[in-house]
Amino acid sequence: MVGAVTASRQSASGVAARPGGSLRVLLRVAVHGFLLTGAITTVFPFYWMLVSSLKSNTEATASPPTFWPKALQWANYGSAWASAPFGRYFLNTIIVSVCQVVGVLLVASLAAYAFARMEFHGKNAVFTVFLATLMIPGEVTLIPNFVIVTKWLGWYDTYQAQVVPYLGSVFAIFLLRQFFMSIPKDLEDAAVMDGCGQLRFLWSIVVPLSRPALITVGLLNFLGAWNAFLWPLLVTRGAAMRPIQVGLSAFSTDGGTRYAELMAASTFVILPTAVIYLIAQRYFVEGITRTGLKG
Amino acid sequence: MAVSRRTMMARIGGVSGLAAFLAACGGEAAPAAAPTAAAKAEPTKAPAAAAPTMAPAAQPTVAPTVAGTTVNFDKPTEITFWHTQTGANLAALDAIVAEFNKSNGKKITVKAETIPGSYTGVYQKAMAAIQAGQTPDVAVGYESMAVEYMKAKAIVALDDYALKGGQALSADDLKDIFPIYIESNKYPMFQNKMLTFPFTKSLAVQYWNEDFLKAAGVAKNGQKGQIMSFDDFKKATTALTKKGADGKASVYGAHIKIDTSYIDAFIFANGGEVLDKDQAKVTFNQDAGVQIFEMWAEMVKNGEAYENNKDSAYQNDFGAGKVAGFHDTTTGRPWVRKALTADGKEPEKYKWSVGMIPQKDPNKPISVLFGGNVVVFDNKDKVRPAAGWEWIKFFTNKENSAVFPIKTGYMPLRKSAAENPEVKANWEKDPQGKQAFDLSDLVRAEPQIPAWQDIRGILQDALTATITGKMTAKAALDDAASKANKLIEEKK
Repeated sequence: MVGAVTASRQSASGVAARPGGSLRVLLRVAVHGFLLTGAITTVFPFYWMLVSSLKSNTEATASPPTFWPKALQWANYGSAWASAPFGRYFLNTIIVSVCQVVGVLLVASLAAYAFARMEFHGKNAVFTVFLATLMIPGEVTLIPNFVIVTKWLGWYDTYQAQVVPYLGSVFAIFLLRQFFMSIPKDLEDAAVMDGCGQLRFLWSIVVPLSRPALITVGLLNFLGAWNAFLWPLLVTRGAAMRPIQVGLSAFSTDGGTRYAELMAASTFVILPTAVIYLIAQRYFVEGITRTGLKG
Repeated sequence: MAVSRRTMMARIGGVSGLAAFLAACGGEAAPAAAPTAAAKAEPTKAPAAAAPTMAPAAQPTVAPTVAGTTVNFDKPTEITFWHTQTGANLAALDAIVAEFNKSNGKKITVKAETIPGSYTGVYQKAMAAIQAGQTPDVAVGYESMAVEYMKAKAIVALDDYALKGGQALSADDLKDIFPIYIESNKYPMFQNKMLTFPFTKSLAVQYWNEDFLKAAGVAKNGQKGQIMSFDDFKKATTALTKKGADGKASVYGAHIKIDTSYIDAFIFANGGEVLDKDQAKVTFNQDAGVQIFEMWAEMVKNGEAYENNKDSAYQNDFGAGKVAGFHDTTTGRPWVRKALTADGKEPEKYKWSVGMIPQKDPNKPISVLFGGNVVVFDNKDKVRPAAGWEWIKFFTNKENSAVFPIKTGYMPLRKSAAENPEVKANWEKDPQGKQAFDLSDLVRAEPQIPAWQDIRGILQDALTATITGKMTAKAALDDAASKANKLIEEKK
């Protein structure tokens, strides 16, 4: 991978060294134009959410739309916050997300280590079966999961109902396995010669070296937990256990939707994930790149 | 896996996928074999003295040989009630729940649980709960949802609670409730049993800008005695449309809502049907339906009508004077008022009214009744369904069924609402509420067959294809009919 990047850089230098400056400028304009289009496409929904959150409900759905509020309606944030018990929803979501991230990292790193670095009978067959479960649509497992969690385990309206079903994350195991496999065998041999056991090697060598992959797994799971809607709705009874995404449904009624307040609530709901993503994005990109995955 | 699974979950959305899966899991549907409360009704074992909260003379405790259920509430009973209300509507509902819990005298406690804003959410949750045997006691739902619950043998028929036995509605109650609100909750595919009871109902109506009607010299506005024929409607739409020098409309005469409930309403109003008598084939592609689609396509082509459905933006267009009339739900009144008053900060910009949609025969007007109903789940217990019905009866009594609509915009279920002082006072501020109420006996229900939920989308696509000129009305409706008939066959 590093070699490919170097080659690419050399190639770029080669183009720069050649005559034909106008072609180079044209190419740059095209590349930047393409990147700018991508950036605008990505940022525009956020911009629209922000400006809509500051419009009146009437202006927020006006046709033609306005690109800046006629009068800033800061009160939307107050009324949106008061429309549902968002404080409780935030607390619930933080508890579930943190437990899920910690749990997934623990389970997935142990399982990934076994698949990546240990030899046991039927390893590849078991891993294939694990991967095959990725092909099962969520619709198929929804009801069986619900029955197991609520009827057999009696976890209706609990935090564990929202956390435990996600701990066996095959995607996380797969991603970490790919990363763990790239760690040189020499390191393991040296550690074993120094008397290091498997768990110690995992904890002291593999985990520190795999920080980008672990952060990627953690971030993906955090985003998933933060944005979860249907499963928490199924397994909870009321606001005491429900997460933040359920709160966003409070703005829809049979007669219409309080669009401006919905946008205000959406803004404060996505704020934590946006901040975490911005902080962790360097590791996230590295983790995805080094495991050979593309988003 | 976790992320992938969540993505899949997020995609569920479609009620039908889940229903299909559950149908596969739940074995064959056997609606005829569904047990009724009457079949299981047993004489209560509790002596009369053990039910101090009941008046023995008024409520017989034993009904062994007749249909109908009579139950002694001698022990505290807690029931769960799933609904979708949020915001001010939720506060109004919670107040009624609190009043019931305080005053029912039968030791019944209702625990209301909000599944915010989404009937689909209620359905998904209920279907999962049916599989796990953990259903609520009462839940809101549309007719198609009730049919699926009944196929899963999960709900009780309400005939034995509402119409027979010690808890039944009185003759005065039945006379007071608009007949269609009862009749529309009877299901032909289940021997005409009453599986649901009306809860949050609305009518399909026509909103008009009265100032624009007056300026254009249009005399009729859809209210009783002033109901438009389709010819009147077409002429009015032409007269109300104002075009600029560029030929584009600055004011449209009409807005077209892409929603099957209104397609149904207009087809009924044009003397047509959307299903045949056996409920085996759709008929919306016959003349009555084709004429409606052609009328709308012609209006769009002439620049007299348009569609701007996203987020009900047409309500704001109405508030801004960009459209003279539109068809919508009666529950939209508070939103229209907001649009006309800049969210309540200014006086109403225009005079406006609510009336009947145009008709083929203005002397026999008809529109559609829709909205939420409630079902009572069969929790293998005599007391809980009976307690559920007690709650429904309380919610729909004279007082509550009149006052809850004031706070929410839903329709009162009873004729006596017109005499309620609070309702009368509210109609001073909301004359359109009175205009809508006056249409309450001029509506009928939409089809209840299981496939209808999916057919709704097909019919809406056909309307979009027609008004955008991609297909002719006949071709679009024939294509939709072919798809719909297949669905009916599959979901029999």
